[in-house]
Amino acid sequence: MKRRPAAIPAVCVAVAALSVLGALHSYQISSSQVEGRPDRFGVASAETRLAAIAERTPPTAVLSYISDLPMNDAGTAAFLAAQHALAPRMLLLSGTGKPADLAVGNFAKAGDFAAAGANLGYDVVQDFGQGAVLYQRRRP
Amino acid sequence: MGGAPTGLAGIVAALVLGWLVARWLLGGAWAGARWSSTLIQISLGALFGPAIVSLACFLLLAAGIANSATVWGAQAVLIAGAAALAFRPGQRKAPLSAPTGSWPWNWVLVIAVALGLAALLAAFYATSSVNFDGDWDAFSIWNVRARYLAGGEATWKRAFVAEVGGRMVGASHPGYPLLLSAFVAAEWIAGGAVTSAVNIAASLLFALAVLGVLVSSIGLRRGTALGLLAGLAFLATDTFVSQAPGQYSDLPAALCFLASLVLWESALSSGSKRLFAAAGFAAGLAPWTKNEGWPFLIAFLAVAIWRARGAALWTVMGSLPGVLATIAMKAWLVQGTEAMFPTTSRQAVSFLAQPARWWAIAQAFVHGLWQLGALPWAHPILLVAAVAFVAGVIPRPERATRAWLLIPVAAVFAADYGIFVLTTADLTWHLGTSVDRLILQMWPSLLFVAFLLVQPLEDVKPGTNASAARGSRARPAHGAKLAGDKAVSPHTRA
Repeated sequence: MKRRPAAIPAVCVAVAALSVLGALHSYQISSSQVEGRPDRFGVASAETRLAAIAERTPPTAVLSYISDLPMNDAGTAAFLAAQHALAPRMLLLSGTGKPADLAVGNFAKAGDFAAAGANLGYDVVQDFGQGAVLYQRRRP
Repeated sequence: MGGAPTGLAGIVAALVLGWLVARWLLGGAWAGARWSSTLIQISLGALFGPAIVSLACFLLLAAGIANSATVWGAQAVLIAGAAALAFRPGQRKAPLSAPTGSWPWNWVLVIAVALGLAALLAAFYATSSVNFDGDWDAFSIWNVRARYLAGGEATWKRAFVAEVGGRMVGASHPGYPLLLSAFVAAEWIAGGAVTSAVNIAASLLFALAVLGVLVSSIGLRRGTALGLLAGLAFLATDTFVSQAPGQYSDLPAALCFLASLVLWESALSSGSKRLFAAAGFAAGLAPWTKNEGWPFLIAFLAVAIWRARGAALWTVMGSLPGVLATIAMKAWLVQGTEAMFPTTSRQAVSFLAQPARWWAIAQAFVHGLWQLGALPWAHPILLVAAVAFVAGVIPRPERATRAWLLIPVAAVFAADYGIFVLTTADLTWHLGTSVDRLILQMWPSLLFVAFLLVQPLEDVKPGTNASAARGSRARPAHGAKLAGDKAVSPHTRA
């Protein structure tokens, strides 16, 4: 490809200007995407809601997971956010292993949390509010 | 004192370590402008330092002695050793020369880079200030694994089980490598607390490092003007601006790829054993960063042996730390596999035999390339083409000697393509959540090679005949061989 010396300054300055405009537009997109949608995956919210459960359980604990959310996008996000909030505690989805002695309830709506746990063989230890419940496996 | 300040101090310590290692390996390799020599040392240091810290953390965890004192102690010892090597008096080989002269419009480019950088930092702040723990894969994979690692002896092996992610397809990745997670965990351990400031700072560090390596490497090899223009093309890349605060491993992987090619290209031109080893070290860190690093490394080493013959031994040896750590992790720690691949050969063959899958993947990659730019008329590919159109490209023989740098990148692309063909996850979902990031891994390397092929603007004189296409004025130092001589040389953007 041949050189075009006469055009180099104009084109390169134009490239510089366009690059800046592109970067500024990217900033605009980024800021508009987060505006009004802080914590869009509920990670910070999970940290807050489940903090009391984290304090009541040792870092080495293994906890089963109970929720009223189906494992669609919202349910998966809720599980993964809870896992992140409670790590290094291990969080087990039901059906992925032997049920643990302790379980964490992570509910999106008000309801009969005791019954939800009882159906899976757990008794409520403490309801911390905002859908966060600590369960203990019922002794046979 | 613990928490965020101490954790951030750990990141600074890692950067100092990396800079010293880079200074030792690179010292005096280039004779270009001082700013570009300093910038490339710091930017490569942002890869080397965190990588070495992540390897050290892995070893400390495996030995059962990972705590704040040992992490700080390891960093201190490593810094002392690196400093002794970096400032050791001794003969240095004659450096590679760089294009001389100054393009009169550089000041415009400098201002533009400053503005583009400000936009990047503003976007980073806007996103990080509300999403402290990053995007989907960050809190569900990279940062959560870092939390298991930071839990110490009792919990660190949980990072390698399929229960992380609930054994769900697309969420459970027990075999994912550890550079990012182990580095973040190391600084959490050093700081005595899990604090988002560390993972946010790490994310920013890697993003700026990729930009820094790109700008400085082109600045050293093709002149300041092209270096700045390469940086501008990268800053105009919307995928880069959007992914920078994501806290994923894609930018660290991009940094490994880019650093490997930058160091290798100069090693082959200079014959420096240290540069050969440094290139190998960077390439060996690629599989320690992301699984895509394996095809890159294999192709890179194959090209290295082909191009440099015996000198490639230094490259192979340099790659060993990252490679051995990755193999050790996968062989002894990982439990379970990715739930995303065919379980039978019949299923695999059935996927391979579906033309619609191949076509859908091709379309997705084209769409991903289109999405690199937020504005069509400011698309980075268009900008690069415009610069090449007016500045001219180097003569064909010189182009051929640099084109092979694309082979490792092509290997990554081919591997990515194959994974998409064989994925058992929903193909539309899989493509939609990852193609843009995979392209971002390769994009800085593609920009590097593209700008290597453009003639320096510093060579332009008023009244120069447009048909007199000239090669670069950069000449290898006395005694060094020319490059090409045989045998020396849950996530798409709205």
